[in-house]
Amino acid sequence: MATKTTKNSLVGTDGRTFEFILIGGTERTAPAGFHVCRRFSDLQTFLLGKSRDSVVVSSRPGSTEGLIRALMETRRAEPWGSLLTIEQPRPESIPSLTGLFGRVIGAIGGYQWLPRKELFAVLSGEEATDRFIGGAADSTSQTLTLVRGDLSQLVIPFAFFSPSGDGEEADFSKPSFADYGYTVALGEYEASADGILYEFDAAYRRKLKKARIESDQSFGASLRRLRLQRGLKRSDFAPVASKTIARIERSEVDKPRGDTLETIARQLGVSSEQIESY
Amino acid sequence: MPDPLELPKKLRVKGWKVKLHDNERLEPPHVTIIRREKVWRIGLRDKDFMVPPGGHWRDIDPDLRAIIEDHWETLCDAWDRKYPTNPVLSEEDEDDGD
Repeated sequence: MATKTTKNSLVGTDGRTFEFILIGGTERTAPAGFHVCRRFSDLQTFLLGKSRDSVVVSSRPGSTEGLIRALMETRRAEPWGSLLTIEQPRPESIPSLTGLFGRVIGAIGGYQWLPRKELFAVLSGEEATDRFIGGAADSTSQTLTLVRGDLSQLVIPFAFFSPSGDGEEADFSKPSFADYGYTVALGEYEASADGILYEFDAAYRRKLKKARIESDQSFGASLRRLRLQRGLKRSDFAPVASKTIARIERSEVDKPRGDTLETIARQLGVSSEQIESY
Repeated sequence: MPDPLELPKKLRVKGWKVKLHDNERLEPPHVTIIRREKVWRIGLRDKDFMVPPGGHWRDIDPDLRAIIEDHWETLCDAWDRKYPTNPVLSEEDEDDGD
């Protein structure tokens, strides 16, 4: 998980440093946080001295061909860091790329990406973990795979993107990404990164909770937040009385146990252990 | 959906956007303000900046702030149409006295 950036790297919470290397770029100036390798001999020299956390971004058709040749000459046995291919490589080269790199993102077709300027900014920025740089929809499995700025991926069922009350429906034939990875657009339907991560990433929810101004982190406060988010009334927890729910929310009584806790969790649609993560 | 407010060109050129996203069913009612990498979320019930990411009105272009305040009801109505089960005015909150 990214926490801060230095001039040319991203430092994760585990202390690892990510270096960003752009190959095949047509940019006149290097994007902030990136080393631009215009010749593959430069890349070879540069990579040899770097950690295995390096992220190589291939942004022009054919640039992975030179990359493979350059890396083969190093005769290194261990895999290199991560490879992000914005332009799809030659299909026959994919096995070589997946063998050379610890992680390869975007090698197969169907991915849509943020505009490059925004993509580079997100990759090397402080919000990388919480933004989406691209993704691909699969109508057969009814899933949308989203790539986060830290190159981890989330697979979301189409069903998550339910029509909003005003009738806006997601069009999965047209996924696109905007607002520096904050908005996932499915036709006219726009989903926020926050809304997606909140439902599909428990670590994100924990981070959100920690950051909340509300100092009240009690079980009752979590119950109240989740109840309101679910659109439930206190009277919706029968046989637990609404007054009991109110007292729990105000922390006037201890955290419920047994059948009471299970009833509350069941109505909220989460496990009893999950309530306090909200 | 199309942005709920039509902003003047001078704000759009500066990168300002105002959005109500379509997948915020678990969130309190809010409007999202975006300017390039930066995002702010303002609660439609209390007009507070939601945390995270937090923020302050001084972060927002004064012209945009004026437009948002002038069209507050429009934003609330748009939210209510989008999320009829989580309206801005929550009878529950009033009834419960909290």
